[in-house]
Amino acid sequence: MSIPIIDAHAHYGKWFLPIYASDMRSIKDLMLRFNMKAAICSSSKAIVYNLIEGNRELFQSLDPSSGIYGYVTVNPNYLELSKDETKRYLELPEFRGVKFHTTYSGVPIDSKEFRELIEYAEPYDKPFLLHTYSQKDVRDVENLAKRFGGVKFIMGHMGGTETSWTGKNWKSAISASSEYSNIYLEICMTHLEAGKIEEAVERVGSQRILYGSDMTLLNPAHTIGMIMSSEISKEDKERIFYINAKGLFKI
Amino acid sequence: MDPRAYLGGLDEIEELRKRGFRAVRLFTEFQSYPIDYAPLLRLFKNLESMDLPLLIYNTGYGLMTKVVRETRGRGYPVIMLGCSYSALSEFIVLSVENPHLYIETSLLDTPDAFELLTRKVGSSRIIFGSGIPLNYFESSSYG
Repeated sequence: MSIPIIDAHAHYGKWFLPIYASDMRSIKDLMLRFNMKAAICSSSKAIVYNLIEGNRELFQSLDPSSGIYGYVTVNPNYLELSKDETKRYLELPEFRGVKFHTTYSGVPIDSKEFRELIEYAEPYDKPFLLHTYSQKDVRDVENLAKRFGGVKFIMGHMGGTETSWTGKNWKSAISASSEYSNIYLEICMTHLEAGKIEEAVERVGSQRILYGSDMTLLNPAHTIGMIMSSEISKEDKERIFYINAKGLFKI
Repeated sequence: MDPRAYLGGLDEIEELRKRGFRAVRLFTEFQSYPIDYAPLLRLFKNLESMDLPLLIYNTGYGLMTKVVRETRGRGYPVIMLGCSYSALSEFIVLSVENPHLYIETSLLDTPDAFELLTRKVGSSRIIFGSGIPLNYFESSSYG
């Protein structure tokens, strides 16, 4: 892989699945294999099980000298704890953003609780990575982008997909990003429907599209292959793989 | 084949086989019938005489288990399509005792899926697939 990569959507830690490549050594091996200069990771444990422990284990494992940075995970079910976590980690240089997963937490993206967390974290001026896997999730991010014009929101999975292969979810994410300049599209998902990247570049421009792998859940090759297959220019690929994230995360 | 339409009949399949068709594909991901569905069960049985592999899309937990139960001992290979991280455990457990079961690679997307499957079931049970034109080809081939 000759183009360098920054992975805007990575994870550290085990999943409830038969995946064994989940420790920091595995992450570094994958980064080396795919010419990744940096990866911004959230803790799988913080997302799925235990917010405090997960963020702490991530913090203890981060290695900016190897390009491994973190997202602090928040959970609006635990508002005050999430504020404490934000305060504890977000001003540290190792942490480059905030992660929120609406599905595991069961809290909608556009909820009173999450808005309170955004207000709390806004002064730190770091982007939010939001799991988006439905058209409702996309609409919710649009509402937030409108309300919080100075905050950068990354639509993780760019709205996701559905087995009907209509592309409705990611098409709505593209529409949202084309309207709001503080919405970024991050590309990883399991079903990599042909045409998605080309349409995103055409309608939004490549400057606000970010490469993400979802490792350690997914293999970076899966989404690298998607970008390499897509019929966009080399310059657009370089922006998506590296340049955009370098600017956004100040790496 | 769509078991809702073809009622498990063999004439259509035989005709297509003569024209060079190499396998039977069930589009469970689009057609939404359950495995426990009489026309489909009849098709599973009738395929015994056809010597054609069966390709079926894995739509979620438990489907593979039901498919294996209905196709065990029938003499034709079954290739599970669309298997991502959530299908791995089920496939590994089933494939140990069901040598007719195979897995296709278009959505095999975990960091060590190939290593794990090779170790647990052997590479002879893994079949390359890409999902084109619906998917990007290199998503499957790149790694």
